[in-house]
Amino acid sequence: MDEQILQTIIIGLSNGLIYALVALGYTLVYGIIELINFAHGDVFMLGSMLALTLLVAFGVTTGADILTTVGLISIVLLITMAATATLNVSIERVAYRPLRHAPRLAPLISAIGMSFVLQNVGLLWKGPANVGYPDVIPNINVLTTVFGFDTNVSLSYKQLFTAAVTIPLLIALTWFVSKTRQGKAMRATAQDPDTAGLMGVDVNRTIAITFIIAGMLAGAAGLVQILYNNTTVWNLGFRFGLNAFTSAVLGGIGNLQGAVLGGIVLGLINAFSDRYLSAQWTNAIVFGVLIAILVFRPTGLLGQQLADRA
Amino acid sequence: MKLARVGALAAAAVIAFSACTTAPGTTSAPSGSGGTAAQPDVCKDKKGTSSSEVHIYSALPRQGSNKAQTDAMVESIKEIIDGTQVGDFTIKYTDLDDSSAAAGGDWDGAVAQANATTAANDPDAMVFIGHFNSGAAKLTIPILNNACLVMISPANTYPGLTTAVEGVTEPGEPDSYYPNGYRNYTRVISTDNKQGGAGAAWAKELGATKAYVLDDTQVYGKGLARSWALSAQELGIEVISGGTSEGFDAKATDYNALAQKIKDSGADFIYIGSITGQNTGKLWKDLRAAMPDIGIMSGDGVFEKAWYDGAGDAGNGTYLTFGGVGPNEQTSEAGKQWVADFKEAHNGEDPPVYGIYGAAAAQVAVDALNRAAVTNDRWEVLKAVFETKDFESYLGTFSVKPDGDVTLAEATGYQVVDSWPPEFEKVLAAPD
Repeated sequence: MDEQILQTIIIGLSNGLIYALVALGYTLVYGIIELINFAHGDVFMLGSMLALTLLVAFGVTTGADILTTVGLISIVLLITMAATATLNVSIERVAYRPLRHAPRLAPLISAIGMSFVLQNVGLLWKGPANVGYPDVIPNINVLTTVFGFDTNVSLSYKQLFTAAVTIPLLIALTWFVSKTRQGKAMRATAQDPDTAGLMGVDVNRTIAITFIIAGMLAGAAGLVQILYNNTTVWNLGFRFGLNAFTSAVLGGIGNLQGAVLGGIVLGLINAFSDRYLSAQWTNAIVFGVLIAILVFRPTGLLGQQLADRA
Repeated sequence: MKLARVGALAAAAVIAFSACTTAPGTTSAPSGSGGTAAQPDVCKDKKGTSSSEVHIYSALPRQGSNKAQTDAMVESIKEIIDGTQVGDFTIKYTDLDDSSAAAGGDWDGAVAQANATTAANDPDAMVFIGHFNSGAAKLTIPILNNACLVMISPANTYPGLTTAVEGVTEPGEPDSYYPNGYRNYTRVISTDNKQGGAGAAWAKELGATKAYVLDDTQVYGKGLARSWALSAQELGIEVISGGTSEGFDAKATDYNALAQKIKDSGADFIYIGSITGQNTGKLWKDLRAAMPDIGIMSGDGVFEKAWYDGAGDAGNGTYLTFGGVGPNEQTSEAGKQWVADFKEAHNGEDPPVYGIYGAAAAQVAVDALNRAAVTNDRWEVLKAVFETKDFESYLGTFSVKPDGDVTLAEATGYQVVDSWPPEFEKVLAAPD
């Protein structure tokens, strides 16, 4: 295969996996309460800011020994996931639960409002410009240095790292939703919350747990983002949120595997458009593809529904 | 159909998203006469109502990544203007903010227009100092043209606000900004076609042969990048981004594929026309990761610490041009004194590059009010500003030309060497 195409695929896949991680949060919440949680992207943004702050506080820098670095990154990952999960479940409690039985538009507006609140928190916290973070995971080409291939194609440790975090999380999430008792409660709530309640499922608790899981995913994505892209900014949630939400719709909203597939497809479209067309047209192309797919396949690439899935 | 609704929401999001971006104006309007000879109808009976006060407004981005620049400007404007006596009147100064939190602290078109309307509706307002961003000025010049209020910008560098430059400005510019035919806009800074040309000549000296030119799709960034590209081609540098500049999406999550494209194109130099707030930190990081040794040059839009904070090490080595003279390179005694005073008041810190330009704009305003035949008549003040001739300011001696530009035409070149601020390299020759 042409080296340029292969390189573009690698770039697209790495970005797509981060979109997928954020898209999972959108799809989980939509699957349960049919709400597009616009604040999710901003929880992810705050996750990346917290991860950045902790990495700096713990002194995770370039050139430290691998074990210490991995250990500290794992601690940062756990703290960030706990914090974003707490934030997300608090948002659910304050902004969405009181509107559970209100007309559909009310929680949607509430979600947009939360998104603005969180963006402004980010703006106050880190200021208006990008905040940079050095390369901790070496940006070294694995193909030439480890495998000894003679190629211009570059696959870095950073790109492998996104796969190493996203793929296990997806597998764990799929297992959780399809095999555990709590997962069964989630599916029941997604299908019919009233009946699920009558059958003994604690609906409020199930929804809260869904928000906790979505928040944890946003935190993990935030850390991956800061280590992969080395920068964060207050409106990052909007940038990633738009792509992630589109990925979720593209793959079939409410469908976990669909969100991942949607993320990867979107990452590839973005990379190919940037590479072979013009960067300023990428958004138009991405949404053109989305509209075309929805016209011919209204339920997205893999079809809908958390409830039917499993 | 839930999914149909979701699709509609996605489409609505795109439309809202597109509405947030600024497209260069392409409207046409009656051609402007330039100069200020005959009194237009809109300037009749524009006299102040107070017998003791005249008002001056400034509208600058008072938050966000430009805050350090505008803090220095406002501090100096205030010192020069506020409470100063001109004839029988005392100047009252109001510091307006043309940015918003919703725009991330950058200029906001709606806010800038509201600022202009505030000044236009104040009968005692005689001068409007602003804006910092050319995009904001595009929106407010016509408002203030209808109100006969003279503008003095300390920092707008887009040429199309005052002159038509082939291949750089949009059709109909600059006449489209002056609906009443007369000019009411001046600036104390040189324009981007001069900065771009000077930058291109410098790049040639640095050995550039094949350049890739990027812009942030905003008025300023696009204008500067196009100016650079045109001059570069005239100087024999091959511009491989389609002969002009290619826009980058400031809301993109990354630029890895774009960087790869530039790398594969065989470019040996990159020029970027952008302001800091357009995701420049990420852009620089991705370009540097793909091409660690390539020469990168940019303009005054990123000439601030906030840009370097975002780009980090990826900003090192970047060549920066400024369409004027930086504070430490000022040659006039008054300018040197201004810089020394600033440093003394700020623990030895260098003033941001535009600080002294804010001071010069204020000097022009006070001088015009002193010379105006009637101090509280907008038309007389406007005429006095345009009649500024051989004026000795902090920036040296200059005159205001009939189109609103000044006779200052210098540009300076700097390079970032491992820390901020960048190191001064040379005074650049701005082409005619």
